[in-house]
Amino acid sequence: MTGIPHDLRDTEVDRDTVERRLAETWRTRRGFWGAIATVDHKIIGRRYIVTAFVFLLLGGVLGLLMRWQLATPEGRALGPDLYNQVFTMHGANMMFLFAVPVMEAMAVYLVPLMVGTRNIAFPRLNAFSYWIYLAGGLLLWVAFALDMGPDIGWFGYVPLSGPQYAPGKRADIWAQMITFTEIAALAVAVEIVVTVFKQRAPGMTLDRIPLFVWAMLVTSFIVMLAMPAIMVGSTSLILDRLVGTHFFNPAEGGDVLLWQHLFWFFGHPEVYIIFLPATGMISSMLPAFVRRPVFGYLALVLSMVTIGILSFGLWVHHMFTTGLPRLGESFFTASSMAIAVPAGVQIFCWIATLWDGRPVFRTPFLFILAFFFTFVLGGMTGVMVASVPLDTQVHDTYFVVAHFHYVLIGGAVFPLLGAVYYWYPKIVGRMMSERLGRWVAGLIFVGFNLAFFPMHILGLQGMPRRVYTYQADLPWGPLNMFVSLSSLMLAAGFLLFFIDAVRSARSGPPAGDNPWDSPSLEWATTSPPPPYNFARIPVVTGPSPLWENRDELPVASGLRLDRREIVITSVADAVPEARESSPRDSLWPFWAALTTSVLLIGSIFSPWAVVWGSIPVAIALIGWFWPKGTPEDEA
Amino acid sequence: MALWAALFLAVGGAGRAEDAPGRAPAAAITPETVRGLRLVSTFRTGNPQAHVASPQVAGDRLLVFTPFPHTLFALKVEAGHLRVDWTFRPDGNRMVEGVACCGLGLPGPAVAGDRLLLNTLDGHTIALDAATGRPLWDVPSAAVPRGETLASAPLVAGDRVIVGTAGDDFGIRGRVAALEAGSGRPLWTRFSTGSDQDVGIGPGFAPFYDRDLGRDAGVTSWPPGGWERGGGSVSGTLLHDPELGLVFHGTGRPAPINPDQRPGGNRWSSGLFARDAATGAARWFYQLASHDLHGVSGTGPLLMTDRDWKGVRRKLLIHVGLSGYVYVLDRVTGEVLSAEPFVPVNASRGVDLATGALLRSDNKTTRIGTMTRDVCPSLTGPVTPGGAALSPETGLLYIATSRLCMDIEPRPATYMQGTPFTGANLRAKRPPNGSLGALVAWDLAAGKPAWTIQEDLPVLGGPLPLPGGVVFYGTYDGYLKAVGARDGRVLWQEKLASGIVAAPTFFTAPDGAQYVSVLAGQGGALGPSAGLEVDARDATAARGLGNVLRGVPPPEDGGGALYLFALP
Amino acid sequence: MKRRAALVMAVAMLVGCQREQRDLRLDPPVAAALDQVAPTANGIGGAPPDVYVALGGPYESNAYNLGEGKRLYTWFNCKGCHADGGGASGPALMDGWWRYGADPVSLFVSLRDGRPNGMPAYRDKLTTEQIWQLVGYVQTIGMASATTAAPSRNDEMQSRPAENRAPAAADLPTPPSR
Repeated sequence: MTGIPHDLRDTEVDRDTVERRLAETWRTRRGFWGAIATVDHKIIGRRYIVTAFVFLLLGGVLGLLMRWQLATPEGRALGPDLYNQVFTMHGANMMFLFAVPVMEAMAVYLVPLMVGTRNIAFPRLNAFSYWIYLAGGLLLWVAFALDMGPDIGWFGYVPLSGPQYAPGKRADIWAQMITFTEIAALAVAVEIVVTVFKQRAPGMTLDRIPLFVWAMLVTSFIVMLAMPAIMVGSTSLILDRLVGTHFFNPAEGGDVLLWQHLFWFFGHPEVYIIFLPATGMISSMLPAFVRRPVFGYLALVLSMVTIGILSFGLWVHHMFTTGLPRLGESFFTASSMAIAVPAGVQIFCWIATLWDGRPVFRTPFLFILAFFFTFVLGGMTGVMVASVPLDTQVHDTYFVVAHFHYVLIGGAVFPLLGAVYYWYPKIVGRMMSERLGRWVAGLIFVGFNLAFFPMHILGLQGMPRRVYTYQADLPWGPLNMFVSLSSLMLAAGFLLFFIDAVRSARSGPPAGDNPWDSPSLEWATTSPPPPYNFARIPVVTGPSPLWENRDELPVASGLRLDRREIVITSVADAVPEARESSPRDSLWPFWAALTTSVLLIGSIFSPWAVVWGSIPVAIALIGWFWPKGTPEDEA
Repeated sequence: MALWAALFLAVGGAGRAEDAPGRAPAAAITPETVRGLRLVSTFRTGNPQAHVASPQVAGDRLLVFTPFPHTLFALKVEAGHLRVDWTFRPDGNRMVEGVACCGLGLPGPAVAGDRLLLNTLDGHTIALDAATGRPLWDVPSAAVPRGETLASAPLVAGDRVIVGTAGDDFGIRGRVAALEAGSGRPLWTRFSTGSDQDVGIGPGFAPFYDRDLGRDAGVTSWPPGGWERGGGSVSGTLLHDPELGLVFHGTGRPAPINPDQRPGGNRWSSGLFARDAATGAARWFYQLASHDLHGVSGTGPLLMTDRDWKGVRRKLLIHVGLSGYVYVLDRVTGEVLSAEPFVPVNASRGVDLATGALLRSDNKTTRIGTMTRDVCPSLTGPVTPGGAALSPETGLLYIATSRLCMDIEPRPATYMQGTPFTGANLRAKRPPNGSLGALVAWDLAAGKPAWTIQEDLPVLGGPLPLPGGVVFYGTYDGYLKAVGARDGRVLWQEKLASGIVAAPTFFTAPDGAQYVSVLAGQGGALGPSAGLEVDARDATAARGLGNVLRGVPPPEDGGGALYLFALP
Repeated sequence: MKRRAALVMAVAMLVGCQREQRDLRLDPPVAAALDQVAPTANGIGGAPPDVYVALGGPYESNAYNLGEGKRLYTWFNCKGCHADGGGASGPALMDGWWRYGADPVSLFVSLRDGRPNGMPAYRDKLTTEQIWQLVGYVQTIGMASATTAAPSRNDEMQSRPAENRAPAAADLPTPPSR
C-alpha cells in the first residue's frame, strides 16, 4: 500500500480519513478469490449462517419425507433402506450440520461486535473452520445423493454401525463427517474463548459482558471438553471397520457399551451446546422488547455456568435401558432432574424481566413467547423421562421424539428464528417483513405443537422410533395422519420465513443503526457494519452501553491505520494491555481445509491416506504460518 | 505270537486282557540292544492322508489299513522284505469326506482267529477271511447322510461284534450296536440319548453315582428335541471283559459345542458306560462332565487291568480322559478311585471322588457370545483314542499327550442334517508352561508321572511298551524314538519322511525274526484331524490348531509309508 | 469448472451407487433366472446366467451382498468344515487352490449341487440369490489385494485379517500334495 506512512495512528488524522484508511486496510478484495481468501468474521459468519439454514431446509425436507411415509399404515412412499437413510440423515444433518453450526455461526458474527473488537481471534482459523464445515456437509449430502447415506441412526450405535452389521462405507461416511464438523466446532470454540477473554472493549468488565457472549463462552468450553469424546469414538469406529481393531468387539476385549458412553458423554453436552446460545439470545433480545435491562444478570450468568458444568453429569440418562447398575442409574436420574433448576432460574429471571417491563410485541418477541411455552413443556417431559421406570417404558418410542423436538425446536429453533428477525437488520441492513413475520411465528408455533404434541400420545401408545411403517390394525394410523398434515403447516411457516429472508435482502425497508433501540455494542455501528466494525474502539462504562450513553459513546484511540490492529485487554477488568495485529486475508486456510478434507475422505477408504495425505496438509500449514512480510508480522 | 502282539496293541477296538502268560521273545529288544535297530524295509501305501491305524498283526501277516478311500494290505515279511499277500479295497461312498470331522483315517481291523472285522469310514462293518481277504459279510452300520461315520474299530466280544458310531460334530445321536459275528445280523442297538429303553437303562442299571435321575433322563436332561441330535458318539475304544460279561465304552461330548443351546445335564453324553454284552443293557454309567462346557468326550483311551489298589485286589478300568485327568475306576461298580491331571488343566479344579462330579473353575465357564481365554485342556483333546498303553513289566501307563489350551467362544448353531452342528469358535494356544506335547509315564498308584519327555509338538501317535524295558513312540515331526521304560532316557531315534500319528507295532515273523513296524504319514500340515489343503494363516483352521501349528513346515511327503526296523 | 465437477459427480455416482446399493428383495423373475447357469460337462466352469451379466455382477462388487454372504457363511455351518477359510475337514478357501474351479459359475455349481468328495448340496437350503451372495463372499476370503466392497471383521473371535484387509500375498502357503 503505497502512500500510507508507516505506523500511522488514528489520532493523527481526521475522522473521514480514519474511516477511509480503515476501510482500505480491512477490506476484502473483490472477486472470486477475494471471497475465498477473506478472514472477515462477518462475511464468514454470514456464510456460515446461510449454509446452516440451507441444511435446515434440506433436513426439513427429510422430515417431511418421513411424515409422508408414516402418514398411512404400510405406506409405500419410501422403502425401508431409504427410510433408514432418511431418518439418519435427518438427525445427523440437524444435529451436526445445522444446530451446532448455526449457533457457532451467530457467535462468529455477533460476538466480536458485541464485545467491541474489530475481528474475531484467529481469523484464518475461522475461515478454515467454515471450509471444513462445508466439506463435511457436502460429504454427507453427496453420499446421500449417491445412495451411500448412513443408515445407522444419527448416533450410530455399535454393533449396528460396526464392521459386521454395517457393510459398505455408509457408516464410515457418517463417522468422518463427525470429524469434519467437530474440527470446525472446536476451531470456533477456541476463537470465541480467546475473543471473549482477551479482546473485549476497554471497560467491559466481566459483569458488563452481554449475556449472549456469556452463553457463547460457556458453550465454547463445553465444546472443547465434549467434542474430543466423540472424536475418539468415531475414530475408533473407523479403525474397527477399516483396519480391524477391536475397540467395540467384546470377544477380543472390547466393549459395546463403550460406544454409548463415548457418544453420550459428548451427546448430552451437545444439546446444551445448542440450548445455551439460545438462552443467551433470549437474554440479549429481551431488553429491547421490554424496555428494561434483563432481571438477575448474576443469576443468569451463574445458571449458564452451572448448566455447562452439570451437563457433563447427565449422559447416562440416554442409557437407562442398557442394564447398568441401579445405583448408577439413580445418580443420573438425580442429576438429570437437578439441571432443571438452573434452567428454571433462567426462566424465572426472564419472567421477572417481563413482569416489570413494557412489552413490545414484535416478531422476535413472539418467538420468545413461543420459546417459553414450548421449552417449558419440553423440559417437563424431560423431567419425566429422567425417571428410570418411565424412561424404560417410553425409551425408543415417539414420546422421546416429541420430548427432544420440544426442547430443541422450542428451546433452540424458536429463539434462533427470533434472533434472525432481530439481527437481520444488522447483518443485511434491511428489516424483514413484520407482517409476514407474524404469520411465520403463528404458523410455526401452531404447526409445531399440532405436529409434535400427538407424538407424546403415540409414544405412550407404544409406537416405536425409526420404524419405516406400521400395520393397519395398530391404533396409530389416525394420529399419524394428523401429525403428517400438521407438519405441512409447520413447513409452510418455514417456507414463508425463507421467502421473507430472501426477499427482504433486496427489497426490505432499510434499517438504521439501531432499529430496536437495543443497548448492546453491535448496534453502535452501521447496518451492515463496515469491514472494520468500529471506527474507534468503544469504551464501556456499564452493562447497557447504548442506554447509558445515548448521545455519545466514549471511545479509545491510538490504533494503527496502516495495518490491521485490535486492542488486547485483561481477562477480568478489560484494562487495555497491548495492541495486537490481526491477520490479513489469506488463501492458505482454504488450501489447508482442502488438503485436510482429502486426507479425511481418503482415510474412509484406506489407512494409507493418512500417511500420504498428511504431506499436502503439512505443506498447506507451512504456507499458512510462513511470515508474509506485511506490517502485521511486526510485533 | 499273535497273542503277544495283541497284548501290546493300544489302538481302539482290539481290547486287551493284561497279564498274559509267559515271557515274549520281545525281551530281545532291551535298552542295551535297541541301539542296533536299523531300517530293513519300507512299503508305501499310496494314500496321501493321515495314517492313524497302527499296523495289526494277524497270524503271520501284518495288516496295514489306509485312510479312506480304504485299502487293507496284508503283508508278509520274508527275509526282511515286505511282500503284499492280498489287498482288499471296499467301495467307498466319497460323500463321507464331507461328514468326517476329524480326518479320514480310523483304526484297522479287529482280529478274531481266522477272521478280520473291519469298520470303514463310510459306515460299513465287514467281516473278512484273514487268509485271503475275501469279504464274508458287509453290513451298513452308520448312515452317512445323517452325518454318521465310523471312527473306531469293531470289538469282538465272544460271538458278537460291537460297533459304535461317530459324528458329534454333525449332531448325530450316538449309537452302539451288536452284530452276530457269523452273519452280521444285528442283535441289539443302544443309544447315548433318548428314552431309558433306547439307552438301555433298566432294572439292572446300578450306577455308583447320580442314582436319582428319574425316568428317561436321556430326554429330560435336554431341551425339547435336543436329545435327537445330542451327540454322545461311541467313537473311542471299546473293551470287553468276558469274565464279567461286560462291554465298556465311552460316549462323546454333547452336541452342539455351545452349551447354552442345550441346558440340562445332557445325559448320557461325556461319560463311560458298562453294558451287558449279551443285551446291551447298561450296568453302570459315569459322567465325566455333566452339561459339558469344554468339549469333553468320553472317547479317550480305555484299558483294563487287575491289580492291587490300596491293598485290595480290584478289577480296574483306566480311562485317560479328555478332561485332562487319568481316571482309575472299579470296572465292576463304576466307582472312581483316582482322578489326577496328566496335562495342564484349569477348566476344572479336580474331581470330587465322593460325588464323581467334575469341579469346574468359575472363571473358565463358557457362555454364548463371550470368549473364554486360555482354557486348558483344549477341545482338540489331550490324548488320542490310541494314545495310551500299559506295560505289564513296569506297571506304568504310557500316555502320548498334546498339552494345548484354547480360547473358546460359543456361538449359535443351526442344525441342518449333513452339515456341521458345532457352534463354537476355537483357537488353540500354548500351555502356560512347558511344551506342546509330551510322553508321560504315569504311575497309577501315585497319581502322578514317573517321568516325562517333553516334545516340541503334540504327540499324536500312541506308545508301544515292550517287555524288554523299552518304549517306542513316534513324534509329529517324524522321529521314531525308543526310550527306557523305567527312566525315560532316549536310547535310539530315527527320522522318517513324515510325521507319525499312529502307535508302532511289534511283530514276530514266522521265522522268529522280530520287527518294530511303524506306519508314518501325517497327511497335511495340520495333522490327522484336518485335510491336506489347510491354511494355517486362519487361526481357527482345523479346530484351532492353525493357531499353534502355524510355523510347522509341511512334511516332505505326508503320504503313508510302513517302516520295518529290526535288530541285526 | 462446473462442467468438470458435474462429470466427476457423474462418474462417482456410477461407482458409488453400485457398491452401496441395497436390493432387499429381488424381482421374482430375476431371482428365478439367476439359477440358469450353463456349466460345462464336468461341472467346472461355464457361462453365468444372462441376467447375472445384465445386473452388472452385483454379487462381487456390492458391499451389502458380500456382507450377506459373510452372514450366510456362518449361519449355514460352513465354518464347521472350512473354518474361517483355513479349512479343517473341508479344504481351505483362502489359499488360492480350488478343486473345482475358482470362477463364480464353478463356485455356484459347487454350492448348489454339491461335489463328489463330500461337499453337500445347498440347493434345498438356500435360495438362488443367497447362493450367489455366498459365491461372492467366498471369493473375497482369499483375495491377495483388498477391494473396498469386501466385508470387514465380525464381532467375534479374531481368526485372520478381515477380507477387506486381505491376507498378505507374501505369506501364501505351499501348494498341497495331491
